[in-house]
This record gives sequence, C-alpha cells and structure tokens, in this order.
Amino acid sequence: MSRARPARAGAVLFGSFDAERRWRPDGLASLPQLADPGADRLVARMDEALFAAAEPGDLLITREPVAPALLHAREAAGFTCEHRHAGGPDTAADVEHQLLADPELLGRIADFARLRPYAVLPGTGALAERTGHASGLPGSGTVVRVNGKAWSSRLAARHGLPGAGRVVRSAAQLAEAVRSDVERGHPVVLVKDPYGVAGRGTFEVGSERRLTRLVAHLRRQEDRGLRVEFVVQPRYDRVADFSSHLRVDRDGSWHLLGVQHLANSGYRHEMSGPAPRTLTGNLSDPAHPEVLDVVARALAEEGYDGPVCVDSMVLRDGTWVPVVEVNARMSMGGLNLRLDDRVRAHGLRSHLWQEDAAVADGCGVDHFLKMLREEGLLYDGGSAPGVLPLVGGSLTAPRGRLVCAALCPPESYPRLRAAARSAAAAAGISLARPA
Amino acid sequence: MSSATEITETEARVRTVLAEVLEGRVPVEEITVDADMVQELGLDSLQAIQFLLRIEDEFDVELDYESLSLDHLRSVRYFTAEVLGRPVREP
Repeated sequence: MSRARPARAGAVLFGSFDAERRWRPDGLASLPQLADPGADRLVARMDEALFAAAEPGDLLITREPVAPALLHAREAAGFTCEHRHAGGPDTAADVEHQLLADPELLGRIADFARLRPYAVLPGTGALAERTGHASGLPGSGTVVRVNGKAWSSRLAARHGLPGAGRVVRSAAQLAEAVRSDVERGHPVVLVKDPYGVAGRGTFEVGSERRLTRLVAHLRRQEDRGLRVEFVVQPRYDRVADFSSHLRVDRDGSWHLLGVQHLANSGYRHEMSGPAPRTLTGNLSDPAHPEVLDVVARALAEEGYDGPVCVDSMVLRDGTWVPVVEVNARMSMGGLNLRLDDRVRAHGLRSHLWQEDAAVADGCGVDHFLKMLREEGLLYDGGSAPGVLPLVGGSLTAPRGRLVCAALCPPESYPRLRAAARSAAAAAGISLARPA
Repeated sequence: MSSATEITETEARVRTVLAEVLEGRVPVEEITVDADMVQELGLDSLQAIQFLLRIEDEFDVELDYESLSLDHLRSVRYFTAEVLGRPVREP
C-alpha cells in the first residue's frame, strides 16, 4: 500500500555568484585582463550570503561548509533555515554540478516546493529537471540573453531612454563609437564586456593612445576568429547610483521589492543600503515607475520570470541614466533588501558592504566573530544595532574579502562599519582600502 | 656590484605608477622594490589592470595581456625585469 507524498513546501536556495562568467558565450573577444584564481576562490564562497534570503523552513545549500561559529551567530540573530553543503566528488566543480553528482541531496531538493537559485545557469536547468522543478524556472537561453549588456543597451535605445550604450561588433566599430563620444564632449569613454564580471569587464578609454592599444588588442583576437561584442558608453558625471529590485511573474506582472542606494569601488559592488525616498521620487523624463515597467514587460516577453535588479545612476546635472545594467538574477542589493525587511520591525535598517582584506595566517571568521562579540558589536537579533558577517569562507589567508551587514539606523552606519573594521584588524584581518 | 636597495630609473618610474594606482595608501618612498605588490601592498586584480594600463602609458609600450598573470606582479623589481625587460609589442 502506498502512502501519499506530503505536500511540498519551502524553497531551496543555492547558486554560483560568478554567473556572468558562466553565461559568457565561447568565442567572444575579451578586454585586457589578468587571470586571478584568488578572486575566483573568494567568489566561490559568496553563496554563504544566501541565508539572507532564506525563510524558516527553507533549505540553503552552499558549495562548501560554513564555519559552525558563523552558523551559530546567524541562528542567534534569528536567521534560521536548514543548511547543507554540497560534497560532490569533483571539488573544482560549481555548486550546480556538485549537486548533480550527489543523489542524496538531489532527493532532498525534490522534497521542497521550489528552487530559488542565485542565477539560472546552464547547470541549474539540469538540476531542476532531475528534482522535478523544471517548470519553475525560465530557460537558460533566455536568461543568458537578457543578462547580456547588449540586450539591456538595445532595450534602452529602443525606448529612447537617456544614456543608452551602443553595441559594437568589431574593433573598427568600437574605435568609431569611442571617438564619436569623445567628439560629443566626453573625455572618458567606457567599453564594457557584455558579460563582464564584478568590475573586471569595464575598460576606461581616456586617451587616443589607450584606444589605439585597445583596438590593436581586439584586432589580434579578430584575426584569430573571435567575435567582438562590447557596449560603448560615456563615463557620466554621476552623483549617485541606485538599484531597483523587482520580481517579474510569468504573466508579465511585476512588483517593486525596493530601491537600494548603491556604492561601487572600481566598478565593483561595495555597498548597498537604504535609499532616501527623494532619490527616485524626483526623477523625471522618464519617471522611475515607467522605466521599471518597460524593463519588466520586456523581460516577461522574452520568457523571463524571477528576481531582477536594474542599476541606474543620477547625474550631476539632475538627469539620470535609467538602465545602466539589468541583472536578471538575485543580487547583493536584493539580499540586503531581505535583511532590511527582517530588521525594520526593530527600527533598524540593513547596510551590506564588502571589501578586500589581507588575512593573517591562522586567522579567519572565528576570530572576527570573537572580536565582534567582545566589542559588543555582533548583531543578536534584537533592536540593538550590530554587525553580522555574511560570508565566513572568504576570510582566509592571505587574501580575503570581508562581507558584512551593519544593522542600524542609517546615521550610525559609518560609525558601525568603522568599529567593525577595527575589530577585523584586531582579528588579523587588515582592510585594503581606507573607509 | 649594486646593493639590494639601489633602484634603477625604470624601477623608480614603475614604483611611482604603482603608488598612484594604490591611491596614496602606501607612500611611494615606502614601496620597496622587493615588496610583493599583491600580498604585501594589497593590489587587487582591478587595480592590477589599472597598473598595467598606466605602465603602457608611462613607457609607451603595449603589453601582451594573454601572457601576463598576477604572478608577474610579484614585486617592482621582478615586474621591471620580467615584463619591461623583455620584448613587448611596439605600439
């Protein structure tokens, strides 16, 4: 006699954070760059931060184990969900492929109602099929297309949105587009890889000499048969960056989850935090909701549903560039919004920041947590402001990354971040840049 | 025979470029020619690209990025000898 399978509930959260690298088609020419296995190793640990989006009853699966002390600190702060880590035989594989090689975890994933991956990658589709979730995710081809900067640039141009970048498909076109922007009064022009990763995909051209060298670099790749595709855009005189976080549904409806102030360091995310209402309320030509509607409808028409982050910037002259980038995936700002939702009931706001660090031998997140606790800085889930480390595995010698949330009133954020940096230094974690 | 602390003109120019990229975090006079740019001075991969682009401007050369890695940024002395000391593409 068979028993009815209990109704599935809860979500499984997992996913590689270097999505753009995995979406990038083979055969594309690249900007000058340096291989950096150390940075790749850090990004591979960022999935620990997904706990911020998990509810009680959800399952979080990270690529590698999370330090027990960090798990304990999260639970003490009220962030409880089931946690497992992948452990497939191929330790170099991403979490999606490690899970595909783990029958026990595949069975466990099938017990849940839905998948909530950080991003839909080629391996995610196979994982969804194997666990009975195939109908719950957009197709991989769609996701790759809408996450390319060429797609968002064409969308912005088609709707006449200000500041749209131009897509170029040869070294000659690139040279022409850059010179055209310079002639229109922009001294520095940005060349962006359509699937650039965390700052590594943007190249500043500020002189004819640098343009000549870039063109030569790309021509050599063209000669080898590689395909050129970049987005060319002036470097605007920005005064503020912000990100809008939406959820797009299958039927094309969408809702705004929130807006985040965004700070970048060298084109890489550095901080997400509360955005003052005046930041988006005063935007016009076009108005902020009109832009979000354009983006959401276009994504739904392409067949995408799920989380979306739209990056925008406000310029010194009071105008704005509505679509700098569309990320059809989870994002750091989106994770911070979830933390924000949790702590607002306590009168606090969440400020997520990350920065590079030099980590002394033998030091790590355990030492950092100990120092935060000793200094009374560790967030404990109540209304007292505090800091919560979001990722522990990135704090390893010699190079690491500090990823934390400061849960506090906005005016206290600079002081709390400075105090956390001092605690990190006392724990053998030296921050690379001045605050 | 040169002493370990002697610094050539090329190394001095490389060091100045490095200090600019580090945005004053480490004063130029405190950057020794043997200090590891990545491990000791905290140069990350984004700054490393900025450093190499500025080196191209400073010396008017074109570097071959496909043969370069962070390992070449071991120190000012190593970089000067291994990268600038070998043939590079003429612009």
